Amino acid sequence: MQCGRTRGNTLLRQLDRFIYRLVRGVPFRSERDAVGDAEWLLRKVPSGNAAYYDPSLKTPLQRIAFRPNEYDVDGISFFRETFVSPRSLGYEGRKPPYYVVRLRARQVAAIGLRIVPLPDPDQPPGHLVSSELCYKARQTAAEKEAASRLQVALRDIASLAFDPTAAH
Amino acid sequence: MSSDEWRLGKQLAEEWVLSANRLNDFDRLVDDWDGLGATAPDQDVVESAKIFLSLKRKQDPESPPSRVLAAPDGSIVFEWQSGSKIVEVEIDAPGRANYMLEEPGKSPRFWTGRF
Repeated sequence: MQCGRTRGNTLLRQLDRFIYRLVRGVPFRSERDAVGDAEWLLRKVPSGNAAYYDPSLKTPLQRIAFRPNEYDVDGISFFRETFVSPRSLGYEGRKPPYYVVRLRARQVAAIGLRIVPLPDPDQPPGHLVSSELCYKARQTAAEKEAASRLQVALRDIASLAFDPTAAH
Repeated sequence: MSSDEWRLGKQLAEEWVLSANRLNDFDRLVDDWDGLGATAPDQDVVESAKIFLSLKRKQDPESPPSRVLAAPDGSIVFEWQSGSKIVEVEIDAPGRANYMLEEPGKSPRFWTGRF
């Protein structure tokens, strides 16, 4: 019974994902396909925490939103808007809702980040990682500075795609 | 001391206390406090941040930090904002402070210091 229900949920999820891709005009695009320059990348940002996003500031999005934690061994996660909507992404995870920010793949590549598809059944569809921003327990000062520069650059090219505080 | 000076002094003192209280709040953070796998700051990093804050208060009592934040890698960040200029100090190990200065139109500057 348990297995049947799980399988049913999986099929429904796959159907949902297919319909989403169909609506976007890419029904047979694979999550493993290389990321196109014109694609939009999404990143989840915790809400209700001014360390990440502080609406009272002139620049609400903080660079900490792009800082890896100890689970980001392959790099920080992004998602492709080709496979998941900002709104859906904003409600995925352990402590939803999240803000979702959007970045153009071309601009992300221009600042020196390589974004690699890494589909993960435990993550929303279209999962990507950036190995230049991975967690290292003991970073040298030079590595830390390089990572901080990338975080500042990402903050500066990101725009808000989903605001859970404005959603109804 | 005029009443304005007294009020300003009181306000600054309150802001320093608020920053210190924020640090006390970090004692209660647990791993995954952000729902994305963040590490809670180690007790020795929190204690070091408290020492840093008290040193800054002695050095420059008129400039309490604008914000005190926990970062997802377990470090603690103090931020001073003046217009579009931002100074960020990150305590990631006892006695170590990583500085970042951001000014409009300039590339951010970074340096590390001990305290």
